[in-house]
Amino acid sequence: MDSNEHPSLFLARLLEAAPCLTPIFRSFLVEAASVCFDEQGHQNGVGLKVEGHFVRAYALFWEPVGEAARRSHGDAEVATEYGAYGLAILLIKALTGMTVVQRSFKGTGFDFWLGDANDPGFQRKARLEVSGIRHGSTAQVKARLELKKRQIGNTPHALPGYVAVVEFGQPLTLIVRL
Amino acid sequence: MTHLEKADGLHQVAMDFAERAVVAEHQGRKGEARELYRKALTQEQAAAELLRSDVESEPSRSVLYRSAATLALKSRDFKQAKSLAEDGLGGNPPVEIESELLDLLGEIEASRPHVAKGTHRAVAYSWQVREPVDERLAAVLPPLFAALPEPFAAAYDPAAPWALLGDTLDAILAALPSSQIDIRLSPDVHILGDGIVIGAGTHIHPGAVIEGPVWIGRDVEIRPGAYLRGGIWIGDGCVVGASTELKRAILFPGAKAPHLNYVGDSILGAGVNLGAGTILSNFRHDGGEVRIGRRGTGRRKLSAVLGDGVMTGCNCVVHPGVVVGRGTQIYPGVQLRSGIYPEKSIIKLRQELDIVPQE
Repeated sequence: MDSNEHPSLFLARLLEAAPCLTPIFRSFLVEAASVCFDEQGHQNGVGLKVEGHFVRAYALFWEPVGEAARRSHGDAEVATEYGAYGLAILLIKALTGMTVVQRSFKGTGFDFWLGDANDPGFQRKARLEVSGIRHGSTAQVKARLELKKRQIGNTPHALPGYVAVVEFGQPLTLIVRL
Repeated sequence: MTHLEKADGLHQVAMDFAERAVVAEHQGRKGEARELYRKALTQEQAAAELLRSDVESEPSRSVLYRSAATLALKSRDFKQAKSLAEDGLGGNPPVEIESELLDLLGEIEASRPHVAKGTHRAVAYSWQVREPVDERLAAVLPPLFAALPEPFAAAYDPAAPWALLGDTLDAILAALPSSQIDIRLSPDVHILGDGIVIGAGTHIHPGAVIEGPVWIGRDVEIRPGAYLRGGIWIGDGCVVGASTELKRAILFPGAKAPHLNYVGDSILGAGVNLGAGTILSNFRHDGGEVRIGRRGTGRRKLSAVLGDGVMTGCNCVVHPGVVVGRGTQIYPGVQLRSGIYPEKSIIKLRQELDIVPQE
């Protein structure tokens, strides 16, 4: 994809999208995402497709990845999961203007909550569920999205929110709104 | 500052610890990660406990319990994880969080280390209540019964509905006459022991075995092969089916255990219907005290308190220590683990079938 005409998305700007996260964790997410893109052979400015509830394209930029970062994120499954968190949070901010103001521990990691930081608890917040695939076809991404939707239940949705599946190979992100 | 705001503050600290734990874990600092997960669990549990009685705070309450239970599982504290997940279900969680809590309970169960072969613990059997039940439990128990039959109404404790199976039931049955049978019995019905009361209009099929003490109301149907093992109170219009076994049980009017059921140390609300093969299991393999969530019941034997109109599908197994709110339906084949389940809900079973062509 020719990404020259697309708006830019900088992984380093995760702070604006998720002010509630600790700096060490934000760096961890950015580094994991950078390692995933780097490992897939992408160069800075690669075109990122967004499909589903939103249809957009972005040119993506990240800091150079060193050997230490690659070693630190040697577990591909974990790096993919956390890299997907970072990218999905950035995309939701770019697409909706909403920031992550809460997180809760779930499964092997976290789920994230969007809304007003001054509003305590999880009422009146939208949930962001994220899943990552290091390299897969569009059909695999769609299948993962369906699985994720089934896992969190289809109807009725007492909790509004978004489900995002991030794929680093094409790269492609599918987002649906619940 | 409200409880929700206090809980929010504790939760933020918990998640900060959890984030640091994740990073430490993946950078190979396992010991530090374990310590950080424990700290996160302590804070998150404290946050959840602040909202224990505040079911209006959902989804915050159940999200915090789910988060705390997940952290406990991460810390390999299986008992704590199970207890927290059950406490989360004891509120009024949104359907998605409820589903996640049930999945988490399954994951906790699957992760528990098995007891080594050859270990054995002596078991003391006792009906006595060991400690008072936490009064806060009444606040999280779902509605169960619209009305209670007269002998039970005065003794009912909404914080411990299962207590009816103890002294209350004993007192009712102890006051029964040696025998008062208002129907003509087939010679093939086996009556054993004293304290047998059978009301008019009741039909007992040949082959049933009835041990006293037992009180059977009017218009009850007891089918062939039914085994009533004593300590039983059966309200008007109930059905006890073929090859069904009852042991220390209270069936409120219209309750049905109609096909191949075991009902041990349980209360069935009015109009409850058990699917064929449903088993209400009343005893833990380790012989320990049956608990509802984290709270003791003081009973070594206790299965379920099912609210009015609860329906179970075929081959459900209800584990010791279950309370189900009125009107809830349970899918066939469900293994219902110890805990408090809400009223007017559907407890579903997810399964995947692989259907492949034959070679």
